[in-house]
Formats: sequence, structure tokens, C-alpha cells
Amino acid sequence: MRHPNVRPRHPARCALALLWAAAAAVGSAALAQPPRPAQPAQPAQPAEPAQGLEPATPPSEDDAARELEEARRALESAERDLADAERAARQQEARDERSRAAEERARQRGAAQDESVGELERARRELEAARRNLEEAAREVARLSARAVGPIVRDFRLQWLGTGQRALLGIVIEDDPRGVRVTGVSPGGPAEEAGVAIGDVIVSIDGRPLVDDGRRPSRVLIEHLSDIEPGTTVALEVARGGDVRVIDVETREREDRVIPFEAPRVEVFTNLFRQGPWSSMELVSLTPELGAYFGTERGLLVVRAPEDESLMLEDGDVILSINGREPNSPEHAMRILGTFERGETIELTIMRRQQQMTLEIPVEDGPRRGTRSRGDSA
Amino acid sequence: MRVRTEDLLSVRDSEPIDPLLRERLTADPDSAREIERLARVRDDLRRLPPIEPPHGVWERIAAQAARPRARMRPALAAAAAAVAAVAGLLLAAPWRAGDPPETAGPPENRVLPALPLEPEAPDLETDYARLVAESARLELMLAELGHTPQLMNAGTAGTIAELEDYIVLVDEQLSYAEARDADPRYRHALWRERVDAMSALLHVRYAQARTQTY
Repeated sequence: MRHPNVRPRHPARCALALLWAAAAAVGSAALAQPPRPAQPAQPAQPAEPAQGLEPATPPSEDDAARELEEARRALESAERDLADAERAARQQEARDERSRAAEERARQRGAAQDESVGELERARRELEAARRNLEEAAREVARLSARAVGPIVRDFRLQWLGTGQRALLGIVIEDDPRGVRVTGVSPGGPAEEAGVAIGDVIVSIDGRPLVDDGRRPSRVLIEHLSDIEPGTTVALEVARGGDVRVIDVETREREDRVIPFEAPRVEVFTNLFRQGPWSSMELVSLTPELGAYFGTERGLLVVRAPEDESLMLEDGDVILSINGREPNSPEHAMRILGTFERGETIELTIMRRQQQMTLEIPVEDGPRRGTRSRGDSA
Repeated sequence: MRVRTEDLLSVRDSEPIDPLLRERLTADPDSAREIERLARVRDDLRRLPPIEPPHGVWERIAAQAARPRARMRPALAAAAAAVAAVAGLLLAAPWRAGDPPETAGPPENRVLPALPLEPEAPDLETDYARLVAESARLELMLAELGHTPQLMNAGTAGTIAELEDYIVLVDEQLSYAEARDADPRYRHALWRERVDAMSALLHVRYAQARTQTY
């Protein structure tokens, strides 16, 4: 049985996954063996053409390293630019406040204020542009880093993709005499949300001891995860300091798209929302105090609706669910939206002026035409 | 009153601050609650156990040290220094949003610490320990930024979600490498990838947290 929060796989993605898996079967490098010398990775071939995109041509290792180093510098530069833009906006804001305080020069102040407000708006726009530049620079570092690993890791990835494990915890583990030690917790991942921390030692999963039959504890854990459906909640018995506690973690599904920054095709999918008409939207999670005004205790408040009116959202709407999944943060909402592809329909259940309704919005390239399909009282 | 995280942190850490501002912040219930929360985060971080070196790294270093290689002593020292550095960092947790220790000057001029540079002597085991330590440091920084509800542009949220999803997948590969006892070079490359992705994520989240006031 699939977890209700797990979307059925899109046929295109299944096909892509099969290609990856087939490639994994072809790649015969044994994991325990030393990696092969650097050479063009044959298994990377399946990244070809399913949707008319140019295949990802792996750069040479030297080129990749150089590009990555340049991207890192660009990120540092973007960070400095953002700091400059923040300083400028802050200074302009201070000037604006001083201007407003000069009551004895009302008329003159009025003129100055108008000018100041215009300058402030300009400073804020520049700040926003600097922030966008920084995000692009960060994505470029990730993208180039993913591509710079070379054929060694690409082969390894194909092996990993060929495994049946689809339920993810979001941790890095090392074997330990008592089980597995957590040496990394993925930010925003299931384990972090559940409270797993670096240094924890996982002793058992769903009552199954990890040290039981002489096998590597990490292998026992991975095999258990391979046996369950994504979305299943697992009980981790965790030793922390002198205590032992049980932490329930709701596993997340491994997407078929796999490595977000490695293949250009993935950029196309996610850009529909990250850079498209949705990107101008501003969201904040409702607090109980805020929720009292909107007639709901949960959801994401749309502080600024998308500029594209065909998306039908308005300032003050509260997004309760996206095709039945309840977003708990703006990042979560974008993660859910990122699973949609062209041709699919997004069903947004919202609260508007304390009335619940559903918006149906098709995912497409051109101008969108959403419909308000139904509405009912809260 | 618009409240800046830097000011709240200054109050939390009893650092010099405009007395009038301090009075206003401590009198404001919301600010007082946030200061308490920040203090709890700091205390929780200080209670974290020092991270241990990756499983088997000492054995690998020792095995390599037994080989006739002139620069193994510095490599051992560097590995130990990297692990000790992160252990000390976890205990002291000196970094905080808006106040990276590597930089000085007015808050508005502060930028994040530089991304990790290539090591001068990229010995595999030494660099492996360095990457693990750097990864833990970045996780600590991200944790300090917290997860309080923030007004967020959808584009930024999408970027954060993508970077986080990417890190989850790298982490799963690292765990898989451990389970299959894969060649250390796989793990080394994956840790490097993780550090790059964590650095990128930290920059985005740090910028998001700083621009909250605008």
C-alpha cells in the first residue's frame, strides 16, 4: 500500500528510472573494488534524449574542477554583493526614517519623502536582484559539484540507483559496535524533522536489532529500508549520551529524477515553479495567532500572490493542501509542486475570506488558465 | 518595532548594545520569547557530543603511516587537527547567524566564511577527515539558523528545497557506500559533494534569514 503522501509515479519518470536501472545493470563495477581509472562513463548514456533535450556531456575532470572553483568564487562574490545591497537598503531606510521625523518642514519633507521612498524601492529591488544572483550562484556550485565527481561516482550512483531502496531517512551512517552511528543529518530531511542528531547511534529499526548476525549493521538498516514502502514511519531506537530513546521517522520517497543538479532535464521540471510565474509568490507558515484571522490553524499564508492572475491566488489566501498533501512550510510547498509535470493539474485547497475552496490549475508552459472547481463553507 | 536577529543575539550573549534597544527588546514579550529560544538553541548545541572521527579512519591512517611515506606525520597531525577542531566547535558553538567569527566590522558588512578551499596536500584520509569535519560545521551553522516560520519568496523556497533534496540523495549514497564497504574514494568524492551542497545551502538560507527585515 502506498502512503497517501506519496504521489503515483509519472510514466515518464518510470521510463527514466528504467533507463537508469538498465544502465546500472550494464555497469559491472563491483562496489568493493577500487574504482576504475577515469574514462568516459558508458552508463551515463541513458541520459540521452527522452524529451528532445541535449544530453549531459560530462566535462573533463580538470575542466570540471576549474569550473567548480570559479562557481565557488562567484558564490562568494554574490555573497559580498548581497551584503552591499543590504547595507545600501539599510542606509536608505535610515534616511527615509529621518526624513519622516522632520515634522517642522512638512511640505519640504513631503517632497523629500517621496523621493526617499522611490530610492528605497530601488534599493529593495537591487537587494532582491542580489539575492536572486546569490541563489543562482549557489545552484551553480551544486550543479558543477554534482558533475565534477567524474565517472567514478557516476558509476557508483548507477549501482545505487539499481537497488530497490526507495524509502529515505536522510542520514549518513557509519558502522558502530552497537549499530550505526549518525555522522550526518540531511537538512530538511525526514530524520532531521523527527529529531535525529549527529552522534546518535541507531541500535534497532522497527524492533530489528542492527547488530544481530555478523553482517554490517549499515547493511541491515539499508535492507530494512528496501523492504518498506516510502512514506512508512519507522521506529528508530537511538542511543544518545547515556539515554536510549525511540524516534519515529516518516520515510520519504526517492524520486525517480534522482540527482537534481546532475541532469539538465531536471532543471526543466523544477524551473516550472522556481523560476516561472509561481516564483514571485511570497508565503509564510501560519502561526496559531495568525490563523485565528483566517479561520484555520494550519496552512501557508499567501502574503503576496503570484503576479500571473491566471493562477487565481490572491493575497490573504491560505493554502491548506496541494492535491491532498498538506504543506508545512514554503519549502515543503515547493517540494510538492516540484513533483508535478506538464499536463498535470494542481488542485489547491485554500481558505479565502474564511471560505474553503479548491482551485484547479493546469501545469503548462504558456499562460495558465485555472478554474475554481468547487467551493464550500468552512 | 522591527527586530533584527543580530540584536536579539547580542542581548542573549550579553554583548554591548544600545541600552535603550536592550530595554525595548527585553520588555517586548515576543522578543523575550525569541531570546529564550535562541538561548535554548545555543545551550542545546553546546550539549552536543563531540563528533568522533569516521569509523575506521584512524586504522586507515595508521596503516598508511606504516608505509614508508615521508609526509605521513603531517597528515596525521592534520587529520587529528580537523577532528579536534570540529569537536571543539561543537562544544563551543561560537558561530551564530549574523556573526561569523572569521569576519569583523559592522554587521551589514559581514559575509559568510569562505567556502572550503582545496587542501594543500590532498591526502585522501586527511582530506576525508577534513571534509567530515567541515560537513559537521556546516550542519551546525544551518541548525543555528533555526526553522522558525519565515516569510519566504517561492523562488527561494524552491532553491532551498532542491538543495535539501540533493543533499538527502548524496547522504543516502554515503550510507549505501558504508553498507557495501565501498572503496574510500567513493566516499571521499561524495563527502566533497556534500560539503559543496551544504555550503551552497547555507549561503541561500543565511541570505534569506538576513533579508527578512526588508
